[in-house]
Amino acid sequence: MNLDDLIVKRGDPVLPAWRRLLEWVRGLKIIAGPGIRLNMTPQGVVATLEREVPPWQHPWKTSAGDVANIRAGTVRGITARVKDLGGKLRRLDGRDSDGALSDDGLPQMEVDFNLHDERGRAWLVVRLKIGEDGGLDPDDPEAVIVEQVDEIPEGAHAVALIQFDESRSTVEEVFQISHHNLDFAVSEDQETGASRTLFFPV
Amino acid sequence: MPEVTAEAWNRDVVGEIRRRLPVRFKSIRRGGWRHPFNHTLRYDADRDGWLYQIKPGFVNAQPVEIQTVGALSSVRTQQRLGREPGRDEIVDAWLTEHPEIPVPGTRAIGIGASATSTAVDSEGQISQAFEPVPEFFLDRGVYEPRREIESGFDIGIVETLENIPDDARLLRAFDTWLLVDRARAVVDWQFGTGLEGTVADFTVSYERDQSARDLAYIRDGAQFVSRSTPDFVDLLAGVVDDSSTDELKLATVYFMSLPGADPSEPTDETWTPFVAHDVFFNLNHATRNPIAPQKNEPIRLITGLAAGIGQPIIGSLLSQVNDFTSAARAAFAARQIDGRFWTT
Repeated sequence: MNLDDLIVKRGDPVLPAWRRLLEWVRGLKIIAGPGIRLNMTPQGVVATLEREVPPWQHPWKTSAGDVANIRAGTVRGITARVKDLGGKLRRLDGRDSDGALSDDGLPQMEVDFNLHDERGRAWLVVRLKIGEDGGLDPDDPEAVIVEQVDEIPEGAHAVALIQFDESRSTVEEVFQISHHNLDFAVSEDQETGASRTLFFPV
Repeated sequence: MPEVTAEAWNRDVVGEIRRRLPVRFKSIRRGGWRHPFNHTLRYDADRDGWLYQIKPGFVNAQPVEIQTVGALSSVRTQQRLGREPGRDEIVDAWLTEHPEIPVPGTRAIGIGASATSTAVDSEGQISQAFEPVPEFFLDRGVYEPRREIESGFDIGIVETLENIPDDARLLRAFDTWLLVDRARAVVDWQFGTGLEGTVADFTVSYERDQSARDLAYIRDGAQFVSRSTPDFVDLLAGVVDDSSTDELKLATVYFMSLPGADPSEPTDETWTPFVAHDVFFNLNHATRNPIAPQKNEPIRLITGLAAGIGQPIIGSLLSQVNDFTSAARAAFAARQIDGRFWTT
């Protein structure tokens, strides 16, 4: 709209300019694009942008019902394994030892409803099999495994917490603990010989 | 001559424009990911105040406690406690129980703020320092404090408030922080005389307060003030006590007013909350060294000095650099148990 079209001179009828103004105003329609909701009110338009944000598919992402699904995570670059419903230790990324995709799909882990603390909590923890050289053997299927425990043992790292309901028969909520692939360091006290394994994100 | 009535003008022109002009933009986020320790706020008309909630976060894979009032505790908290607390009773809720917490007292930032420090120069001029207004809020119409102080023998101290724009916004804030109780290292020195000079024995033992909490916990307040780290030599000399708590700031929650608010106004539902988080993931916490009772054996050091030193001068003695102090420092460093946080 050229505003000059609205200007009237002294003595000119204002009605034609007014009509042009109205025509222009009626053309000022807000059009909702994808994800935008418009609510017309006497006071004006409320524009609401609804953003569908895709969920973050991070390592160790856990969901649980009768079975637990854990997205692949690594410790020092080694993909963790889990005992699947058939009792077989399988990589969380659904690949075989040689890296090829398995025909069996992603492994699922059975949730043990009898394994929890007195508050109905169980943890899914990463356990390591650390060699004498302080490292992990990538060819050892038990080098990095995820399992359910009712108390976090020394040297293990929790990736998720499962809260059972009062009857301990269903999973009430799953809390994610870890969101990153991991590395670890073993520190040993030279005087006492006590050691501890500290995990950190990479 | 046709007339344009006021009614027609208001209905057909002003009304048409008003109906078409956007008056408000809202952004609603669906799905996505909210990080642990994420703070959200809502205004509770019944309580006539703001409440906040923190997405469950964990320390060493254990839940974190926070204090709230009984009326805001969740069913899960009441089930764990085995009772229904009184409305105003303070209860320790776990974040995993999804409690809501009343917003504590706030501090003013910008206009209406209290000075964080005051200095007087050699000419007697007084200057004040204030917590800076974050740039985000400066861009939205919050102003830095404008206060000038003049002093003189004849006028005394005169504080002048500079004119502020009518549409200035006000800013208030409170902080949340995380605490983990732990044992503290206690250093005990004993002195004796040996063949080679004064013998100094020091023992490091570990004490845990009876009131120490097993779980990490959150506190809130107008402002988080970090405890200063004690000097290593002072700790070793036993001049200052080791802390029995490690702390970490979680977030600052800001409230911004509408334009033209008065500093005396309460922080009601017309204010807009903003959260600046400092922590985005679950945490691990560990002491620098494992707490080992075997380490409580006295450590004997030869000072190389003639007999007669004692506790009062051990601090200055340890400040020097020699074999004695190196040995003492190394032994103490291996026994220090100050804690560290890191993300999982």
